[in-house]
Amino acid sequence: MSGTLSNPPTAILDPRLATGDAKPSLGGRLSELMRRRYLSVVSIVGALVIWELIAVLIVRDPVFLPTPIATVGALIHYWDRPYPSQGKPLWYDTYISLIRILVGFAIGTIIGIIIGGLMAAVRPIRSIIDPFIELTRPLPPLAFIPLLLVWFGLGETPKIVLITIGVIPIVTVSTAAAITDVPAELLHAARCLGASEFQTAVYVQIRAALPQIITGMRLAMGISWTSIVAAEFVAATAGLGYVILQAGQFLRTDLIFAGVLIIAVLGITLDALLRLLKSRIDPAGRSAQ
Amino acid sequence: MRHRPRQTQPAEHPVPAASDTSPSGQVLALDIRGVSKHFRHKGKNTLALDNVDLHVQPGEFICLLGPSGCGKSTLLNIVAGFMKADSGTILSQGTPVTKPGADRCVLFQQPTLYSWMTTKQNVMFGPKMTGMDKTAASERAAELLDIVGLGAFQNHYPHQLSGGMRHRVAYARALINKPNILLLDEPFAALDAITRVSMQNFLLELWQQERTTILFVTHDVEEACLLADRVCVMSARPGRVHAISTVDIPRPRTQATVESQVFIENRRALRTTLEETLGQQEAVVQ
Ligand SMILES: Nc1ncnc2c1ncn2[C@@H]1O[C@H](COP(=O)(O)OP(=O)(O)OP(=O)(O)O)[C@@H](O)[C@H]1O
Ligand SMILES: [Mg+2]
Repeated sequence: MSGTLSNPPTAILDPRLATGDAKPSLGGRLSELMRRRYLSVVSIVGALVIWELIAVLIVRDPVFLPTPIATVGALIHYWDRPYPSQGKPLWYDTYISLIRILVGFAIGTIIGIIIGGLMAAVRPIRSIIDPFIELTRPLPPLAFIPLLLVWFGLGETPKIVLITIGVIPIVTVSTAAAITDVPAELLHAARCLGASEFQTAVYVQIRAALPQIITGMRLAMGISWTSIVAAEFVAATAGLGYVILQAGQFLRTDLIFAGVLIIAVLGITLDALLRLLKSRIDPAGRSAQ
Repeated sequence: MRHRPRQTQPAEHPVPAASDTSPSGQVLALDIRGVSKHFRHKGKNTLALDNVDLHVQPGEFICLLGPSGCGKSTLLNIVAGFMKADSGTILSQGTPVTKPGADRCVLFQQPTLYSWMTTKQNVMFGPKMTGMDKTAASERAAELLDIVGLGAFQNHYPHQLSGGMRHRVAYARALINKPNILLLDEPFAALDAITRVSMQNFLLELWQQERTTILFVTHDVEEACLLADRVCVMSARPGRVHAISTVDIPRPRTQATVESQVFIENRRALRTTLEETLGQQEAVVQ
């Protein structure tokens, strides 16, 4: 019982076994990371320098093209000062947009996962819902803005609903696909190991589908930004979209760029959080990321 | 060491049919009685299994050998509980089979490990599902991982292991439930030649040590000869048990066994039996 098989067969064949360590060495990984990051940093700094040079030497019109330094300056200046004078400071607009995104995204994701899960679990439900998904998927959510304004007025509701209806189809489709794509053998194996049908669904099927569901959520997050900025253009008194629109009317291009910069930073941050979540639950995908 | 007189008995006269005990009075590990199964595909009826009987003794290593399409996988899936037979019964240690269960563990061509669990967590999956005591399960998992030579890899994830190592984790994961029988459907067919040989050795040693009953599907005569106590040779269209041959080669067996005279004789006999089934098939076609 307790003896070890005399000849662990693949030991000789697998060079990783020699050290007993299946991961690449830490030093190697770090220098690899530095090399990749180094190039990215160089390319960003290069782009900023070129932008600065074009603005200062060629365009020479801060209203047409502000320099990167002026953009950051406007961002810092208006971060805690209202713009326009009757408006709100930038941090407040950022906060408002962020709340709208997070609430709309959360509601849409929950509904999408529930519908997608039901579609994967029950064939008839899939047949019932599929045509609606196929019908709404190619529609840009922005087409619903006027309708949502008529239905829900000018408050927070139409903005959150707009984000939600952009998120739902994406998350629904990726959830349904992720769950049905789990290989049948993984489920059969679970049954042979003593798991009940319910345990197999929860501990294997849904668990195995999670990384792909999160990939769908990342896509949906991108759509959410499009939706919120568009909604804030049309009907809002605060939010990053509203600031950008106002700045455009007052020819404050530096502030437009500042608004875009904030959206970029927030977008990258939220996506990074989702990527982090994915790498936490999907050890096999970590090295691929 | 087992040593049986070599004999090839025609399947039409199997062991006394209406008893689920072996001659020695033990309950059979697996008792397949009169199992039939047909498929309808595009209006065409295929009789995949026609009245199949098979009696597997506890601790026995039995191979299912036959041409492609003779219903080996179908029979294994029915035994596993993934598929329902049209007629007939299957008893696993005397209990009728109705659905998949931990008493009959299937090992697939792929190791089917859970990529989000470490090696140790994979092995402990079964006990966790069945609610077995956690510390006992943990100890047994560590012990089994030592046995399959992966004691140092408990906290590695499957993608950090080689193909052969993943397969060995799958065996540890199966054995922790103390299954009454292991069901293997061409488990080594997808492996490269070198890994295949090392996995055959691994399985021989594991079986020698644990004495789990094994039902092993293959269409490789040499593999059947090397591994099995008895080989159930099946014929196709319809899938029937053609003969049950006893492999009369002393144990423990190793790759060196393949060169021995007794192995060569057994292999020749088995090949002849298999060719009879092919002859039958051609006769049907003509
Ligand atoms: N789901 C199915 N639908 C229709 N016919 C099937 C199905 N599964 C198997 N069959 C048929 O049943 C017969 C037996 O198939 P099975 O897969 O059991 O053969 P096998 O002995 O495992 O073959 P191989 O050695 O190629 O794996 C074949 O003729 C096959 O076409
Ligand atoms: Mg098969």
